[in-house]
Amino acid sequence: MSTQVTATCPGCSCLCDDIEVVIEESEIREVGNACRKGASLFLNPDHPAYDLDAAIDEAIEILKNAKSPAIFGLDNTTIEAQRIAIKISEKLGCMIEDYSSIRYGDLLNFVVSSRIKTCTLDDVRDRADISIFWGSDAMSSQPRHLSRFSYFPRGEHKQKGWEFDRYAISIDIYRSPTAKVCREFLKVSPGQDPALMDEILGILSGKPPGSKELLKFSNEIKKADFGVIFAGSGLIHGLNRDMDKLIWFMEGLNEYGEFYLIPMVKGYNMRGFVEMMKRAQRQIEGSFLRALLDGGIDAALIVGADPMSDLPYSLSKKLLDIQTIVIDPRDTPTTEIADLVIHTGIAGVDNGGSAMRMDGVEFELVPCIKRDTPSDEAVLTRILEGL
Amino acid sequence: MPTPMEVYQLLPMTNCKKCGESTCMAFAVKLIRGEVGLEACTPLFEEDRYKDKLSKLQELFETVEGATETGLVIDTDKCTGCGNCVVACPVNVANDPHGTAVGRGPTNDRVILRVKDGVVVASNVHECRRFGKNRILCDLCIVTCPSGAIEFV
Ligand code: SF4
Ligand code: SF4
Ligand code: SF4
Ligand code: SF4
Repeated sequence: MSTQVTATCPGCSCLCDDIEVVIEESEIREVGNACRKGASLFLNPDHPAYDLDAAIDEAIEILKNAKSPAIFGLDNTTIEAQRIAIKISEKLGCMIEDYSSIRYGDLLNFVVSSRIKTCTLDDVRDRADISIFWGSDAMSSQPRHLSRFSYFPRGEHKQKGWEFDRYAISIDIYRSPTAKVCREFLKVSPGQDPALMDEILGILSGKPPGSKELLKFSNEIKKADFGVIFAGSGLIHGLNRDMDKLIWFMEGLNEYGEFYLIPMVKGYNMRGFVEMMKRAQRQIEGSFLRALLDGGIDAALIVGADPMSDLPYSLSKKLLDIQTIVIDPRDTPTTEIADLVIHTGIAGVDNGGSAMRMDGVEFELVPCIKRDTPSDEAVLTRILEGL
Repeated sequence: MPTPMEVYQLLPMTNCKKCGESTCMAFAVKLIRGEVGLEACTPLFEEDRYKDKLSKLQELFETVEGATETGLVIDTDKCTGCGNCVVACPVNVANDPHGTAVGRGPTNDRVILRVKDGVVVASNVHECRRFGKNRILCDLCIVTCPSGAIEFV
């Protein structure tokens, strides 16, 4: 006998909540609506059994003996697990960090504290006239973003269809898959993003445009009542992390219509981590990489992250010199080099919890099958208790 | 696609009406549009003298491997399951206004494109706008695909 449940996908910060999962004899047989990246999480087989008690004891031992441990990752785990990880960092008096400051500088803080105007993806679907993907290749990182929210769907005030109702543009240093499907592509040379912002606001205030594309884009901005910048890490690099420039540009755009910004965070729950740190009145210091490079860390508890793949080798190789505990459902280059790996279940598939979509809307991840694999939250709770 | 004349010349050209059409030419036109199947022309299959014509016709209308009846081919290796085509397809929008039209998964079985196990699958292809009497050269599923996974052959 087969049953069908609707699930929420933890594959990326879109947290698609329309995933149809067909279950037969306690196994997932079919996954509908999830993209390839998301479906692979649901169709992944369980991990072989291992001695969880021994692994947790060993993790506690490593953390107790470390002089300067650090907790890192956390963008791909639940809010509940993030909260416990923050508590562990308080208990150990140690650094806790995710990728938010590494990839986006202060952007997330500015958005979370409303210093940059933001909106929800549902607003985007229902109202956005113009979607600007700046330094972000959504088609690769958040595959259903354009089809669910930012370009193709009809929405409450968008009934005519994307060809007539919406304008999408990709601004990037290369023609990404996102650029291929957008109406327009504006190539920006590396580091020239501030100059491009100057030029756009200049044209809007009447200066002659430097190119046809820029003129068209400026006209679309003028026409739009509601526009959104989907900011990728490429924009932050291009701005050399200059948030004042971005704030100035957003204010400039808002002279012509309502313009918002949504950070296209990687990791399905980066937004959640930033919020949880704010609620715990903790700063994301942005000093993990420096400390790793300078030998200021002797043990790392890495949760739901793969720094061996994400960081340049000059940095990631430092992980080989220190004790590493990796809590992750996946097998990754980082689990390969770890001193201790604790395989956990996937939230939304094997375990429950909650997470925040890139726009800050919270979703519940309800497990769709029953397996014995522990959740990140359960493992971290036992580590906290043992410390 | 072959022309009606090319197809006509491969038919028995007797206007016997067994297929339900008044002439072989009318049958040829419907055959090309995909509105009728070759098997409706029974003389082709029953009479030995049409053997060569039959095999040529079968070759002509043999669907490309993996292609659906409208010639829609999906390269599942390239497809990322992003759903752009699913949401952009005008037939999906018309037949499923509360599901695919608003960016969600389909709420009924009347859609052409849907994503299953991470890649697009097609059904109800006879409803595709490129097919049937009032066909138009719709290419919305092609232009919205970031990976070139959809083709019509
Ligand atoms: S877009 Fe993201 S959340 Fe949605 S199905 Fe794909 S991986 Fe999962
Ligand atoms: S059955 Fe065949 S031969 Fe007879 S009219 Fe139709 S197409 Fe022509
Ligand atoms: S050609 Fe048009 S109608 Fe046919 S499947 Fe593609 S989008 Fe839909
Ligand atoms: S648009 Fe292309 S990649 Fe996306 S689901 Fe359709 S066929 Fe697959």
